[in-house]
Amino acid sequence: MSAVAKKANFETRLTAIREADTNLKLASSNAYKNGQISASDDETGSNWDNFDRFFKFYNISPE
Amino acid sequence: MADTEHALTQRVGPVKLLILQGTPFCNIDCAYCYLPHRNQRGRMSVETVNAVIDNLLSSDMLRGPLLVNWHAGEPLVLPASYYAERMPLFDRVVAAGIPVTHSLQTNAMLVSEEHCDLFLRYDVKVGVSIDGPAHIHDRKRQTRNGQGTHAAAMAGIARMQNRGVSFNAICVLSDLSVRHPDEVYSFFKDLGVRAVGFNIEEIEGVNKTSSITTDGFDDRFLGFLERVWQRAEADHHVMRIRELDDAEGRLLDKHPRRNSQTEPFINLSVAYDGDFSTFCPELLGNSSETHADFVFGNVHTTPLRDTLRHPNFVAIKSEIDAGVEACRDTCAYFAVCAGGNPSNKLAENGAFDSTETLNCHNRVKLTADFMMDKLEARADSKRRAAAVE
Repeated sequence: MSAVAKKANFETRLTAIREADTNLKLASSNAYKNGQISASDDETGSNWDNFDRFFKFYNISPE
Repeated sequence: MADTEHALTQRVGPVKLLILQGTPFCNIDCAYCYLPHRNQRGRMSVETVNAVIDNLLSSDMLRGPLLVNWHAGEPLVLPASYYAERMPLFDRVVAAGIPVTHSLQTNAMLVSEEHCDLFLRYDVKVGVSIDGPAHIHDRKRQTRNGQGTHAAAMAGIARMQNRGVSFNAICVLSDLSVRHPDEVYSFFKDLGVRAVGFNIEEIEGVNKTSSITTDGFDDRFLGFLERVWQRAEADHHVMRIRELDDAEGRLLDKHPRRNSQTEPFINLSVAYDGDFSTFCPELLGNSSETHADFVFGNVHTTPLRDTLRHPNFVAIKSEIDAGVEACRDTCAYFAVCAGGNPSNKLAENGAFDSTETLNCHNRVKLTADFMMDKLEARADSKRRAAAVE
């Protein structure tokens, strides 16, 4: 598969799984269920990647 | 408007992660460590901590919760009294309306009763670096004399557990550990941690090799993920696996992704002597063939915003931006990654303005593909169940 086709295929699957999640609630992770991911964490309406969950440091608060 | 003037009017930050290098010294000598100065015994002074705080408060870069992480050396080389003198200095930040959480990442070997008192008093979020059972851990995490460190780490963990100090764990995955998924999973489950993060061994900083470049690692890593996933499903995800949570979140979250390692002043790293850097925390103290260092100033003398016109900063930001654009143009996974890790790009590819790294391949691509398959299967299962009802 070419790089262009692979990109298109992944993006198609990504769109589909996000649409499915809207009704089916697919997440297993507590963070997602608790809204820590589904809510934007930033003044710009974005969610930051590579922050404390993703990087070397993994400090999460007790639930 | 001149470029430098434009740069100075840009809104940057907010700083979310402040890494303070209490000391660069580490009591052990892990085979995969990226830190270059772990024999040096300097300490960050009270004056330097106050200079960090002054600098942040006088900038416009504190606009939300701040996580302070004491790291980039073994933090518990320093006694509890060291932190008891410095953590309250952040009351000024709290008084300015900014919530502050202290955290540290430790090998747990030097945990004392006084450290436990400190953790409980200041609600310090503790992360323990331990690579699973002794026969795996001791292969890479050794003293300078080549002795394993597992027993001492477990003694420190027991001390924290006896005092009711909760902690999460980070486990570096090597080509050895991915061959033992059940042992690794069971180790952390038995340890009682709420969450474990798997850092895949990287080529980064002064660490120039990795065991994961061996033939067949991809299959072994995917096999590891599959088995860990099965165990986590059977345990109803009581113990959280960062890589699985994270991949799931990246795939399902509809908000735009931003990458704190490719944009300035989301992460701020300050060395023990006040030198500071941004983007990837691993850059502080390191160098490359093309860059003498990644220090953009010193908190005692350089207002953070002045960094925006620092020639070194401008050049590095331009290279990092070019690398992000190259990822955007070429990578299928850009929507769930947002540009990769610049320090990995530099270490592996020799340039920030490059694209795929081992970290991308394993942590982003393979993990996203793995979790996409799981989510699609879960969606199918839920649709079938709904159809039956």
